[in-house]
Amino acid sequence: MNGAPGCSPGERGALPKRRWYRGVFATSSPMGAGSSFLLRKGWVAVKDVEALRSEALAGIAAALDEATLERARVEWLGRKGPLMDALRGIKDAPAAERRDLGLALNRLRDELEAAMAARQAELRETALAVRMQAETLDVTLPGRPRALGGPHPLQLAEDALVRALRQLGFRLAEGPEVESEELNFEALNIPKDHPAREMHDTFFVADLPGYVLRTHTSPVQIRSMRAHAPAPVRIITVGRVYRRDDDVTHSPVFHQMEGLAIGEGIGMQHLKATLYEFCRAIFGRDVRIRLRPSYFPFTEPSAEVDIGCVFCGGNGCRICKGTGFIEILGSGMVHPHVLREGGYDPQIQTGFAFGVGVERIAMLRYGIDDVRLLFQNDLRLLRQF
Amino acid sequence: MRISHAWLSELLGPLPAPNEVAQILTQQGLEVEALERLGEGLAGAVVAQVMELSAVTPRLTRVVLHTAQGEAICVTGASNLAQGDRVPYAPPGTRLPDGRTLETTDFHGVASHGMLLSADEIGIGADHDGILILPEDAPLGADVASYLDLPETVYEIGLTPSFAQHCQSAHGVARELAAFLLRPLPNVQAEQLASPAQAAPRVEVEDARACPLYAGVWLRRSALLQTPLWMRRRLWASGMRPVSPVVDLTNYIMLEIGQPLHPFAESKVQGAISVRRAATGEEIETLDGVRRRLEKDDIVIADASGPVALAGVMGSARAEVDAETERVFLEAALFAPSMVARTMRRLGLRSEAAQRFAHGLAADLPLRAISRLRELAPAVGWEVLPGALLCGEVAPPPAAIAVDAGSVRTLLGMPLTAQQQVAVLGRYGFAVEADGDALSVRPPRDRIDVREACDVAEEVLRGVGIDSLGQELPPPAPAVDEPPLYDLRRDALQVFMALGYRAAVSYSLVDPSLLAMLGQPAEVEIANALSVDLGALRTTLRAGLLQAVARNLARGVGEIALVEAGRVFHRSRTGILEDESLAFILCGDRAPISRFPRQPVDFFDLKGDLEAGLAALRISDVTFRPGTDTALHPGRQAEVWADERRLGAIGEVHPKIAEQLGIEVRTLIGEISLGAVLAAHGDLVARPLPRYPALLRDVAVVVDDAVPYTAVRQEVREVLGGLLAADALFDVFAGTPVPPGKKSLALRLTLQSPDRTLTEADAEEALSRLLRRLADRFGAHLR
Ligand SMILES: [Zn+2]
Repeated sequence: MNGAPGCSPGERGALPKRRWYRGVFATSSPMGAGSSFLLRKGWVAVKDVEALRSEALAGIAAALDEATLERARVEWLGRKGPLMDALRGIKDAPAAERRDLGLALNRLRDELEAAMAARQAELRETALAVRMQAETLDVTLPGRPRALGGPHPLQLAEDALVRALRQLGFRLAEGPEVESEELNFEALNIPKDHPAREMHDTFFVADLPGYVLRTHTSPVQIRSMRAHAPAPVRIITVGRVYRRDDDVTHSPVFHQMEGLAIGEGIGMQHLKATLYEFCRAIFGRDVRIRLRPSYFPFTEPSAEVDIGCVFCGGNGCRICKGTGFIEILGSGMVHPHVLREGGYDPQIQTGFAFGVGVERIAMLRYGIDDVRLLFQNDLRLLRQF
Repeated sequence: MRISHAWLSELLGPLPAPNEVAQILTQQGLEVEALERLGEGLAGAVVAQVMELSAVTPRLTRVVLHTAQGEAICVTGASNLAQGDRVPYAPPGTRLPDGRTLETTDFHGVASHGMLLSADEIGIGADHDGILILPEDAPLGADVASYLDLPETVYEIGLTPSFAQHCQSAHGVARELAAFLLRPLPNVQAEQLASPAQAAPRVEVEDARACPLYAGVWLRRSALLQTPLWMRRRLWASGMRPVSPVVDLTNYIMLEIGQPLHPFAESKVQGAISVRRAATGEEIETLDGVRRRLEKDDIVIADASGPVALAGVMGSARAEVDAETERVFLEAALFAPSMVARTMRRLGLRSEAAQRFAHGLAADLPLRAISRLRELAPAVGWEVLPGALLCGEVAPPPAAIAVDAGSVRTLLGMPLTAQQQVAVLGRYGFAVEADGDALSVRPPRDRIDVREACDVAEEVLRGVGIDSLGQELPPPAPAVDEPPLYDLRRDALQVFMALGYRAAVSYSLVDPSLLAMLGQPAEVEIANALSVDLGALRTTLRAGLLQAVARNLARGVGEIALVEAGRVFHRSRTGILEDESLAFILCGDRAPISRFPRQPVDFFDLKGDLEAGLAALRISDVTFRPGTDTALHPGRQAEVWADERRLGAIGEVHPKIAEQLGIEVRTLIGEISLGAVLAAHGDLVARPLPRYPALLRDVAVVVDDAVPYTAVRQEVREVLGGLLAADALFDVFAGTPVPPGKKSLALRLTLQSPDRTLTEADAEEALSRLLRRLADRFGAHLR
């Protein structure tokens, strides 16, 4: 409780407190020896120290703000206040009373200072409460808007696929989107006039004979094999592919992800375990998985992988055409022709490959039913991701 | 393809329930895509006999019926009824497959008690106008649904190209089912054709590669019959429309064993027949009534006056069998699959015949078809005349396939002995000789899809069941380096997403005229584009983003921040260059409308984002120079450089281009090459933290308006050198008291030495050197 003028600790410490004690005691009785002393000192309005005390405390309690309280401090504890006056007069008191008088006056001063401090704390508390009341906001008002960025659903799907396979030890590889017919078809066991070419309606590049927009990511398989043969490979690739198709379920530009593993003794049990782990990583641990014989020119035997329909839980619905299963990916053991094209000896090394449509995964995971929505960049859709 | 449960059951004996059959077929590789149930829901119709017919109006007939319950009266619009016909009668209260319930209806004062049903109404045929005439032995009063075995289950099967080679027939599908159910395989013996007995028409095959086998027989009509109901129903269930007895017969045999047959009305064919390549420009009017121009790779069957059939694809209207036809020449041939496929694709004529020829047929199948024809013709009122025609020879079966049973074990990861493999293959009709693990495998003739050891391995897998495969993760392989651009692309997108951009994915095929408008004309055009707007590979990602902005604005979305990473395509002397590019676009407000002040974007938003983005990608020393990109506002664009390498450009979209794209708000766009970013990519090495205190100095200098800030900054960095720890421009001011034509640049300079504490005097000295230099270079003075 410093800061009040005339009441610095240095000054107070210098006061001869001891000499006051009796004097104050004496003042407690109007007939005592001290009365004459106090009267003599001109303390007209106060009958005794007790009266001084109750008057000062009342003044402190009556202060309703810090300014008033400060004025009370000056009035009662200030250099010109009655207490200081009394303290200064102790030296004139009878020697026998000085000690008691000093003690009593000091106690009173301590008490008043404590009361001041308490009142000040009270007033600050109240003032703070009033301020906070005044500062109260409508917290239901919207916050300051931030432009929020976010991923594309295709990217989310692609990341999930790549993450799952990197965890299984596959490494990324890439290849060009404008690819030679040789790598896109012949090396993958799709000679001219092969019926499978019909399923790959192909875009050709003007003025660049022998080149096409790749119809699948599989040419990257050949490129990777040729880069690493005869060492084992374990790669995935993801990227754009092109087919001359345009409807609700087919887009002329779309994305595929493909995996390839080659090595000695690689068998279909390895393919199955990889596919099962992969499907669980993408669709959850509880997903039901079914393999079914199928056909791809670059694999033999080939298998299609279905998962239990995520929309009806396998009971049959419009999306799974009542079968309870939906097709997810194609796979198989790499065809000997393809192995040879890649620089491997099919008598020694075998391998498996699998491929999945990124759009299909995105559409299944996020319930998007028109593939074209994925390429329109409509922010009303993108902002949901 | 479609096939009915009843047909399979006739070939194999009693079958499991349809759902189970569907599952077996799917597990064998014949994916059942849908189960259809024809005639489901028909209840209450009975077999009745037509007793009396009388006209109500010229188009309506009153029919008196005899039913098991007595007489009933019906009115019908059909005109195919005769007294004594057995017909399906639906009395009031009958429920039809389409859900209707019949009542008594009044027609011109005649009450029709229910109705007579057509095949269409029952759900087993297409004929809507005529009443379905039942066989004469249909028991009067019998429930029609049970008499016709309704509902009739039909499997809709999606065929892979390999199954299309041997399963486009009832026998083909039945063989797969038989192998699983351990039933005998259905089979038809090939007829041994004697040398031709008949002289006319003469047939000559000019191109034996196009047509390795051409056989034929002559048929004569022996009775005027309708195609029997059972045959019509199978055609219908298989997706074909009954036409006329002889055509239905040929279609039926095709559906049964897979050999397409073609009947020519003998009287309409003139002179000798030749099987030859079409002459370019030659024309034919096919059965569907369309005139088609032919090319030299099409095969035609021609008579003296031109093509009478497009071989393997479709017949001509000219030689079509009609109601008057009494004699028919019937062709059973093999045509080169690739040629038929090409014709089929080019003309878009996916006939049932073409779809079978295009995948190839067993070498002896035409002869089997002829033998089946002899058996079935009488049922439709036709007779096959003795003798036949044969050009070419039936190719001998291919050599046996050598298979190592051990390799099959490895490939499948299954411990199958040679004996087990032989047994499994036997179920599919394969003849196998085993010598230890060395198998010598002869597939059945229809299995033209099985050519190599790996094909045989697949048969073994199907035989033991794909579900019996084991599971084991593959052994690890040595790690290889990944393409660095993949992660850079991902990182770049992440950085821009963190800055508030949404990732976009656009077609990489774009309209070449858009690229030209953007000043980056197409370099890789598509020879067979789907449409003009997908005519070329993009040379810039700007095309897709500008279109995305236009589209979003049109849909009322006004705050746009998009980023896209992807490839752009350029020509080089040797081929095609594919570079990874990153583009970003801003327009409208930075954030959606709110109670806070609007934040319309400007050039410096985009620039700030790029600066932050490049810093996050660890590209330092990025500089911006005024640019000359024609797609950008000439005064509001900059080239982006790092390390003397041009990364790309940013700027405001040129107002003319914005207008042409329908973009009516200021739009900022930037594009940088990720390939160039990768090259400029710095290593991550931590610098030591400063050990001595820094001194901050604010300096405002007045220079000419035309002096670019970077020129000033260049001098600051040069003069202060190692003492400059950081610099920031915190105010640009023009107007009083700065004289006209001048601007004041306020810089906060952080001076710091790595090896001592700088004194006030050091700072004063450095600043006065700086001011002298700026005065020299730009006539700058302190403000
Ligand atoms: Zn479902």
